[in-house]
Amino acid sequence: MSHPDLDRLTSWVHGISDPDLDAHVAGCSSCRETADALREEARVLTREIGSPERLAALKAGLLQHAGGRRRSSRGLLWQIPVAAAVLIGLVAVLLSPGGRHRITDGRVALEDGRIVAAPMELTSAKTWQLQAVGPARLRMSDRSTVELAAGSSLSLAPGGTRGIQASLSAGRATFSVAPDSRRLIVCSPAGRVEAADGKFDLRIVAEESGGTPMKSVLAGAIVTVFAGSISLSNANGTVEAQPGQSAVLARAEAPLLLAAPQDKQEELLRKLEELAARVAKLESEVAQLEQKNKQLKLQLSSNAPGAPGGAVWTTNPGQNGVRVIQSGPGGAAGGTTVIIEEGKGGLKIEREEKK
Amino acid sequence: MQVDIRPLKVEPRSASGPTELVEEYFMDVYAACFRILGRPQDAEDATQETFLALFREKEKVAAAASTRAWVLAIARNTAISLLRARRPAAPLAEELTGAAPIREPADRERLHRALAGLSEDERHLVQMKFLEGKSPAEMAVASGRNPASVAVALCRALQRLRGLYHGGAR
Repeated sequence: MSHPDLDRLTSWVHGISDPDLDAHVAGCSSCRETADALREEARVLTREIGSPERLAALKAGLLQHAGGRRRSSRGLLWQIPVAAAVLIGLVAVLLSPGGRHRITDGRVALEDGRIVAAPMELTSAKTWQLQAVGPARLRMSDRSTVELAAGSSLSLAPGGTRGIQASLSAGRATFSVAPDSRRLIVCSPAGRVEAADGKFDLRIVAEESGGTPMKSVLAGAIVTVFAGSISLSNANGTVEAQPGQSAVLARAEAPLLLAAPQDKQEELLRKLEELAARVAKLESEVAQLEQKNKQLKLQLSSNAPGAPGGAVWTTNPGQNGVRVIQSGPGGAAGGTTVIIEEGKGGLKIEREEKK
Repeated sequence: MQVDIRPLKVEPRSASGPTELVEEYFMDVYAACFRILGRPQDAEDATQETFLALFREKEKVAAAASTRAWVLAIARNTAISLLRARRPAAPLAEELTGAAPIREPADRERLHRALAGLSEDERHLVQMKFLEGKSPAEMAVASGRNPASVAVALCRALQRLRGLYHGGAR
């Protein structure tokens, strides 16, 4: 199909179903850019028309006034700084289980198959089964954010210490956990991840039939920690993962840390490279020595003992550390004399020909 | 499963205490004021004035047959009074051709003026979409139209808003 006009794209971005556009936008970078710009416009308008901070401050001021604490004929907006304390309480209410989740970017499919686009709010009092149609971003009721990769399945249910029970059953999601003394719990088929703050990536790895053994070992979930201290647990154990570390959650095994912190990894690599260089040098020296040894054996076998004019093997035990091998008749009659001298610097070999 | 969209439907009941009034009707009053005034700051001022008037006349509110209708009538009157008292700003020039979507505004005042430059009907659509987060189907129910015509009208409203915003930059 040809490029849709801006109105058609606008309607599509704002929730009018258009299967032709679904397919077209997926394959057209120009239309995808325009759709992103329209979503950005929606975010700007949502924020400008109903700024949550200003409205919360105004409401808090009105509630304070309604409570009869102070009355003034000058209006209430000047009381905003005073209302900050009340606002903190309001924020606490927003963070309570009665808050809302918000799809802030992208589109997700609901359990009944409907596709909804950002911006969209969902009550946290219900259980939601969301599947990201494309990359999507979600802010949960505790203000933690989740970035979902396309095709990822995330379930949000009431429960847990923060009032949210999040479960990733497929795909990949990056969680940025809003700091709180209570831990956010994210479940996967092979175990759960808990964090009071920080950022981590959770990737579900499915066990594929005919997969490699490594794939089978990794089946479950891989967690990579970017910030904060994250706890991973399942029925077989618990580990704490630090920034830079990755861990595997598998059903039948205790959580397993995969990688050391980045700096230690680099140090290990450097040491491995040094070791490899030393091994290469030693191998070269050994090869040279073997070559010399071979040459020496060849020379000695050319005058084997017992052969006519062959070697007469004699040693000179009287001189410490010096051995003499003589071939041929020896003495003044001629032949070859090899003197091997053992010293501190190794073996010293000398060959003398007499005719 | 139904999508739960802000604001929650408020069933009419006799909420006449000051705190109850704020809790139940705050967003409705703000939306009504924004629809008339267009500028968020003006809508906030009108919302504040509305509730102060309601606090002063709490006996009348308590006696009203429909608290909601009474509250929204006060909000509308307050907003219209403020609109009349407000010094009219010079109208923004409008781009007639299709303008690009609005990005992060460097000049928020211009965006607010562009919002104020829309008609009340256009603002109603923008308000339902971006303040109340309604889907086209819900907007259709609220405005008594069909979803397709609501979508077309929203596109036209956004087109005008962009035209006013970008035209006002010159």
